[in-house]
Amino acid sequence: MKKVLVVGGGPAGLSAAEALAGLGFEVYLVEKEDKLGGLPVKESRYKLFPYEKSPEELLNPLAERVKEKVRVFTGAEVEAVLTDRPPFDVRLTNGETLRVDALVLATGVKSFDPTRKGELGFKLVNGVVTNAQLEAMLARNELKEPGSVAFVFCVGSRDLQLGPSYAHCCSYGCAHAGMLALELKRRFPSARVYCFYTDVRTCSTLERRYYLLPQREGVRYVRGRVARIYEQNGKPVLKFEDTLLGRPSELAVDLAVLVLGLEPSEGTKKLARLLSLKQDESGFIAEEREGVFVAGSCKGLLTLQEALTDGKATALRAALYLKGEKT
Amino acid sequence: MRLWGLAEEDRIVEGKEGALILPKTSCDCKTELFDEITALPLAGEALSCDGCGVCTASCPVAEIITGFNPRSFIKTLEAGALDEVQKTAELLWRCVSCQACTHRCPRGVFVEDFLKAAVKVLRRKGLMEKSPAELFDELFTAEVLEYGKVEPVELIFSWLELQGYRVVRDPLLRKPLPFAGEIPPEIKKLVLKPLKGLRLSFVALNAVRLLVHPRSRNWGRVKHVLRKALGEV
Ligand SMILES: Cc1cc2nc3c(=O)[nH]c(=O)nc-3n(C[C@H](O)[C@H](O)[C@H](O)COP(=O)(O)OP(=O)(O)OC[C@H]3O[C@@H](n4cnc5c(N)ncnc54)[C@H](O)[C@@H]3O)c2cc1C
Ligand code: SF4
Ligand code: SF4
Repeated sequence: MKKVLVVGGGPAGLSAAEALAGLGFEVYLVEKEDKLGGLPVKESRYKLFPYEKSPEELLNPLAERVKEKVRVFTGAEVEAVLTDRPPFDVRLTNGETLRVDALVLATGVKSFDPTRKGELGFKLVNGVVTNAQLEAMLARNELKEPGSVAFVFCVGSRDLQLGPSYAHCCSYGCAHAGMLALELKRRFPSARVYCFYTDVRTCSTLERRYYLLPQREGVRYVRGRVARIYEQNGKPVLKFEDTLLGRPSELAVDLAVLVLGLEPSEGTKKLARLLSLKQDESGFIAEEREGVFVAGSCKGLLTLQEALTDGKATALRAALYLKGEKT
Repeated sequence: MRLWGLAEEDRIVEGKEGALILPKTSCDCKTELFDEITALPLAGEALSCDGCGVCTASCPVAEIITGFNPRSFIKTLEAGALDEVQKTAELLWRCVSCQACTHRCPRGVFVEDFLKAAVKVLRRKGLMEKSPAELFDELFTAEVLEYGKVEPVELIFSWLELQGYRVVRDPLLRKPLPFAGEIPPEIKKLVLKPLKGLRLSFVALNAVRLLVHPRSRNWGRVKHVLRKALGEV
């Protein structure tokens, strides 16, 4: 029986592994963390769009199904690929060596480190948090009623000030922020909730639920990128231009939420190096080769739904290849 | 050539729209202007601008001068909306070249270089008045060529004269007489403050020098050398 190794147990890796096992291959999955589920589970999220379910609710059943049919190694990474062409001899950090006929890379992404944008005050200004931190607060019911909240879009995305590898859009941030803003507005109807945007990218059906509805229910969208956040009287003050009015302005809020961008994970960069795969300007894997397939966000940012679908599609491509058919 | 803005030839002029007396679309699209500006060194990066407003929100001048707005300068010039450009063009020279905008721009636009390039092109085309800084430069140069050196009193009073203040000059030598004409109140304060602290004996001794323009000698030759050098360039 042909063997496949899936690297990365996030949404894309899990759905690829499930599909490959279902198609009758012998599948291994290696995941660096102790828990399966990838970024959504690791950052302990509150709700995932468009399902509006918690990461555990959504991904645990999938992880359980995978564990039944797939040999899963958690807490381990790929250390070396010892052969250049298939079959691949892969050594893992837990000492195991596997011989497989194909590799599926699904090593995903990591969040931008907001301390790199000092002018936005993370860890410097009271009341500045990341979107993941806000989710954790909401999940644990720790958030006290705020007078005002501002979502700061595109922190670590679409920002060449950080270098030429930061031109890409995170693709989840606008919808994610729209979902949380609406949630806050519904929980705390008298709170003033603002979204500071350059462009709102809630494509396809996300537009109605995560842009139109928040606007209709009182979330205020301000067209301007936040240039600086400083502290005044213990509160964050945002400096921006309302570009629709052409006015440079300032706004003091109780909570400023940084909507963090995503970039290739260390694992993604490492595997691209190990297998000498081309990377694009942002470091995403830009190439496949014989017996090597790439799934999910490690080749460019996808939403969760897209990552799940792409895992399945990649599994199908790998299966056709393993059956000797041209893909 | 890039096609940008709302081009005159694409405007609807027939039918219902044409019945309106005023065109509904902005039409004065001088896109050549933007092309000319962006052809200058570094200014071309402005093609990447997404209009986010970070430059304006970072700019210390925008904070004090209403209407000074780097983002809007870029975008109105890009659209070729000449009527809009001319509304704020005379503010362009207020940029202090601190580079805060360029430093923060998420699209890698050299905002300050763009503004300087815009000033250059707008001035060349006669679409912008001379800035006070330029006028002062001209006065300064003329003064040096006239006297062979800077004559501070002469310079200050000529400048005031250019700003529309009435300056009284002595009928013989045409030198300005301080305190005789109009002086802006800030300058008056600036001059009187140290004078108040002076002792009377000092004032008495130096009265002539304080009130009458001080004479400087033998700079006439420098003036000729300078003019000659300029002529050779
Ligand atoms: C705060 C936040 C909220 C979000 N909310 C939503 C949402 O509501 N809806 C939505 O659609 N999207 C959301 N996203 C985006 C979503 O997380 C991604 O689309 C999704 O995680 C992509 O899945 P993936 O499997 O491609 O990659 P990942 O989730 O990054 O999974 C990659 C996996 O590979 C593992 N790995 C990495 N390197 C190695 C290695 N060398 N060896 C072994 N394993 C390795 C990682 O540990 C990880 O488990 C959110 C993102 C963030 C940051
Ligand atoms: S900061 Fe850059 S991208 Fe944003 S408006 Fe200014 S020039 Fe354009
Ligand atoms: S360089 Fe000029 S335009 Fe840019 S921030 Fe400084 S004063 Fe403003």
